[in-house]
Amino acid sequence: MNPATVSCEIIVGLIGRWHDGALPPADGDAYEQHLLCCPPCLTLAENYRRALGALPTVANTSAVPADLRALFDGRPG
Amino acid sequence: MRYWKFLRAGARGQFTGYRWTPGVWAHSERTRPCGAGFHACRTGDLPYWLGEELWLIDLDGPITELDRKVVAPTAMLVERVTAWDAAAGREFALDCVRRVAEYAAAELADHGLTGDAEDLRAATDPAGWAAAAAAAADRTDLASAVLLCGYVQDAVETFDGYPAPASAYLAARVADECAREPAADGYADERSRQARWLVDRLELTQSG
Repeated sequence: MNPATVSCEIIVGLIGRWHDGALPPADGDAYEQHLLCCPPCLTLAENYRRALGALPTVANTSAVPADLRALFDGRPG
Repeated sequence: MRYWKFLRAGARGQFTGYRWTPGVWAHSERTRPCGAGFHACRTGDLPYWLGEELWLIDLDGPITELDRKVVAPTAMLVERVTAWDAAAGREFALDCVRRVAEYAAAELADHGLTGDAEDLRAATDPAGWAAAAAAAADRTDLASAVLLCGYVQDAVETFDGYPAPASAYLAARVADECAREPAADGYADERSRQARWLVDRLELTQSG
């Protein structure tokens, strides 16, 4: 990926992979350089980062209530 | 060896939002380019990573040298480079617009459009460059000249509405378009010129 020619469409498609650390270094460079000079893409990436950061606070990790579990346990798979 | 790091306002990482505490060592269990560890710039890397704040940064542990940055497992912000402020950023961006105008003027002159080239070179501010470029584009059908005059107008709009990295990027992109030799890397050459501008203007030294 050439940082001189990469488009917003391509960058938007890379946001998730960048956060997963799944981009090759050269692509990561191009992605980051694009964000610095493209405020809309930077905002999008920032929103994605904030959403990821908020996930642990909204995920319900408590145990499933016994009566609810019983309802599902009785159903055929 | 000295290294620098651009950050957002408030000493925050540009991509991760990581909040640095100056004078305190930060540690990472591992390093991976663009993924883990602390990334920093040599002087030649600076124009690729422009941000609101520039800091001198100490690195420790194995330092991995990459094409456009270095990465280390341990880092500490030493002091802010106060010469890099909003005014300096504006000055730098203006110089990038001037470069785009120079490329367009050279293209006009190369094709015998010397009057328009001189008008463009004589302009001294963004409004002047935009007006001269628009007038030149109106007077020619030469595709390359029209394209470059369009870039001048784009550069002026970018200067007015976007942060400095956008002007720097556009100048490098135009340099890439104008590279005469097939093997020439106009993009990298323009980035090198931008690095020299920053080193001179901010009085940075790589060793020290």
